[in-house]
Amino acid sequence: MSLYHSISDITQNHVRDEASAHDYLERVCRLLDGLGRELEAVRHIEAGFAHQQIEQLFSSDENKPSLLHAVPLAHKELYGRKPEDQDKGWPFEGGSRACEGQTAHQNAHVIDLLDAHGAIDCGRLVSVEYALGVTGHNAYAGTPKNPFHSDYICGGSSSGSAAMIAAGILPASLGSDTGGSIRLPAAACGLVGLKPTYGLVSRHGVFPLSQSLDTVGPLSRNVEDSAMILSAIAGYDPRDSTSIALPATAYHENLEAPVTGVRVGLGTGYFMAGATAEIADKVSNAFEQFERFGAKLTETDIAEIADTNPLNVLLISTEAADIHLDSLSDTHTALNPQTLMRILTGLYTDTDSYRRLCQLRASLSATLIEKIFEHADVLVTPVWPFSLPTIAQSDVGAKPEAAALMQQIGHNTRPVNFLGLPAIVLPIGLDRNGLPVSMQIVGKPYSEHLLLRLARHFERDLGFWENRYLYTD
Amino acid sequence: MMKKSQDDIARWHDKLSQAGVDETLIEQTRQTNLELQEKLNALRPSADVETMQTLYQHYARQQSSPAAKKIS
Repeated sequence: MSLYHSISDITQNHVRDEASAHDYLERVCRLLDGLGRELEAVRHIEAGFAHQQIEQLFSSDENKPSLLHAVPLAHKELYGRKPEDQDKGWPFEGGSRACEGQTAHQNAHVIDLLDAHGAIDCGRLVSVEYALGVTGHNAYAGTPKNPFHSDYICGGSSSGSAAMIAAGILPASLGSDTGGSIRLPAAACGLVGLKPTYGLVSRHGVFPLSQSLDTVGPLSRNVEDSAMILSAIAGYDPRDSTSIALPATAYHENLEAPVTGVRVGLGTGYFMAGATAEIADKVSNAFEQFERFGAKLTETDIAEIADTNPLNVLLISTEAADIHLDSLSDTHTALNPQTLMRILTGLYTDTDSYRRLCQLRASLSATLIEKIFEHADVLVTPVWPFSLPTIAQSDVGAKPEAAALMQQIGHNTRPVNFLGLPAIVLPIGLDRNGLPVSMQIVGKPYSEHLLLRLARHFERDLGFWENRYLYTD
Repeated sequence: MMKKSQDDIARWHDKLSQAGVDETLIEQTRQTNLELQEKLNALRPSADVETMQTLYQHYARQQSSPAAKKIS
């Protein structure tokens, strides 16, 4: 039977001593190797290393339980790890055949932080190639199947992370989000996904896509687990040029605090423009629920938001080209044509245009953030604009005519990255195919705790994952 | 970002063509870039903020989260 345990459940009931921690880890690794590979979500499993971590944890720290004490986790394959006692680090291929055999030469900063909080690292999960795609297709590393229905996509690019949490094997996992890559797979799999504010979480040691847009954050089945992971990984790191110094916050505490008087705005206009009637209705109904928690409802329509979407596409492709251009002459035949196309698009941006783009981003952000939050504290929007497609329907390689539709997938997530804002997604129900429908709540800079509280109120009311076990014996 | 003039771009373009990257794909991506840059060129900065870093340092100074416990 799959596990479906929360972090608190694991620490309090399943890993109470070293022997039980090893047993629990064994079950997780067995499931990753079986169901995880069956769902095409797993890249590699490091069971030996994980058991060593448990031994070290209980020998050095037995009487000092930590936030993630002996909790087995695995993360998107963009997170480097190089154990001190080994010559080579773990595979670090960025989901691409072009990087086959490449290994990490350092730990990602957030991996060190999770270690310090007692987490056990079991391995790495499938990512879309270079984290550059939203459907989850990856002919080299695997195209994860949605645990709600294996014909359907998990979304991308943190596709493996989403699949393993929804399948009940892991409580949480790190994803990365440059245009929606945490939120889209989280939403596709009925999960909580948190994209933190610009500068809150270090990206040092993470396989890069876009230097100024990449963010690191958690996916989980419940709000508290994402909050616990965020508490562990947030903080200033001088090795990340975008890192911002802030007071450390226990995001997982006081999640039940009231949200009375919070102004919740429904994003109309741009944010509803591409949504189907089914999605728009479900999100509008979910939005209205916040009134029952004492929030004040309003509507927000900022037409200029539309400017940010193409600029985010330009910025991602320009910075991705900057990273990969040197090797492209040698590696282009190994790349998915979609990846190659997205990187090549950035080749044609010169330095002057790039500088203007960065300056315009800062200026537009200052103006739009003020406008968005003039009459609302948070903004509610759809995540996916339409019902999830199947793996076959959204395979742009086999069906080029699907490309235009697939480009609409990030319509509501990309502006959030461009503006640097935090956002959380959470499930609000199921669509006519029995697949999850989710909403996005976007907040002011560094308002993660408010987003988590609002999401917690909604989660407690809906109980989406209560008695929901997608995999049982 | 690496320094990239229009001459540099032309050299990269030739290098990729010689390496066998499909000419149609190159032209298609160049066209996409032009369309995206047209949108960039149509907009003018409306606020006197130079970088995201300075903007978010400003927000960080304003930040307070009364319900969340600060870790000392």
